[in-house]
Amino acid sequence: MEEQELIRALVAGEPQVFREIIDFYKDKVFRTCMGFVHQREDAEDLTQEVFIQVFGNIRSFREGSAFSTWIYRIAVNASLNHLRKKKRLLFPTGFGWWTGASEEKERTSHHETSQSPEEEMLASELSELIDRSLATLPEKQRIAFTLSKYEELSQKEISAIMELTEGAVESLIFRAKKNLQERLLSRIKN
Amino acid sequence: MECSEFKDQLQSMLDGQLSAAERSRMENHQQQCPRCAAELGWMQQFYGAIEQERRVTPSTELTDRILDQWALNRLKGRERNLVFGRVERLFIAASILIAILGGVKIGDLIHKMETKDRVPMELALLDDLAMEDIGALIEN
Ligand SMILES: [Zn+2]
Repeated sequence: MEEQELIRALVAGEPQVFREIIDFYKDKVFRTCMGFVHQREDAEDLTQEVFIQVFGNIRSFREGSAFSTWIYRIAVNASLNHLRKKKRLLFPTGFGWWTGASEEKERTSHHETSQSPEEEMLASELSELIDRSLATLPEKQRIAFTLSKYEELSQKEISAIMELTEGAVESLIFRAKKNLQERLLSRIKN
Repeated sequence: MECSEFKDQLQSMLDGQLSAAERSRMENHQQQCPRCAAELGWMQQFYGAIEQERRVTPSTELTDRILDQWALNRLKGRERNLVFGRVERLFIAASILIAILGGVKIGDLIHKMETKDRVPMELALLDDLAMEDIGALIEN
């Protein structure tokens, strides 16, 4: 089935297209979530949550608007909610994010089985670096940067998802990159 | 080229937005300045790591997992509806009880206005019937 046909069938409430819808969009949703949480297990859980929301709220989707915009928005919101919950869980424990980070290292270390231990170590350290660097960005910069880097979406698509002008998105991405550069370069000075 | 200029152009270089001439000026500085070379290397490593994360794919069972979870949620939703249905039936039974008792009360008043001695027997009978009905309704 073509994408438009699939969506029409989904909106019409035909459950037999659910599998096709998932197969069509899961990589996009997963990559988006990965861009926020940087861990395969969490990104998979979030992808599941996103599709459950999509199927459960399909009546609130307005036909004529882009389905991909709608699903990306759900994925971004689910990811941000996940990060907020995690933050609330991590901060009261005293040591803050660095204790959380070491737990994460353990969790990420077994997700890529094809890598050597050294590569795995490096990959998990880099995931941690990405996670901590992106976490320092203001929320809108983070969303715009993640959608452009992980999903390689155009400024036009991002502006539809974030309900901003293209100019605003351009400026958010520009400032995000500047901030990341400053943040990362300050790390090698120390 | 000064280090500050190198730093300003660094992001454009990473984004592949420099002209050949600008790029060769950057490369010249990089060869003479280990500090800027290190900074470029560090930024390249960061963006390389993002590129690596982009290539991670979800497990093949994910689609089935999602469909299973959706089916489970639907089932739970239906159970909730059943429970709600029971509560609804109790609510209807309670409404009937109030209506009957109200009706009896009004009938009682009318009777009291009409005659003064025939009332209690009928009232007792109606009341018993009403209680039985309601009892049956609640048991179902
Ligand atoms: Zn320099």
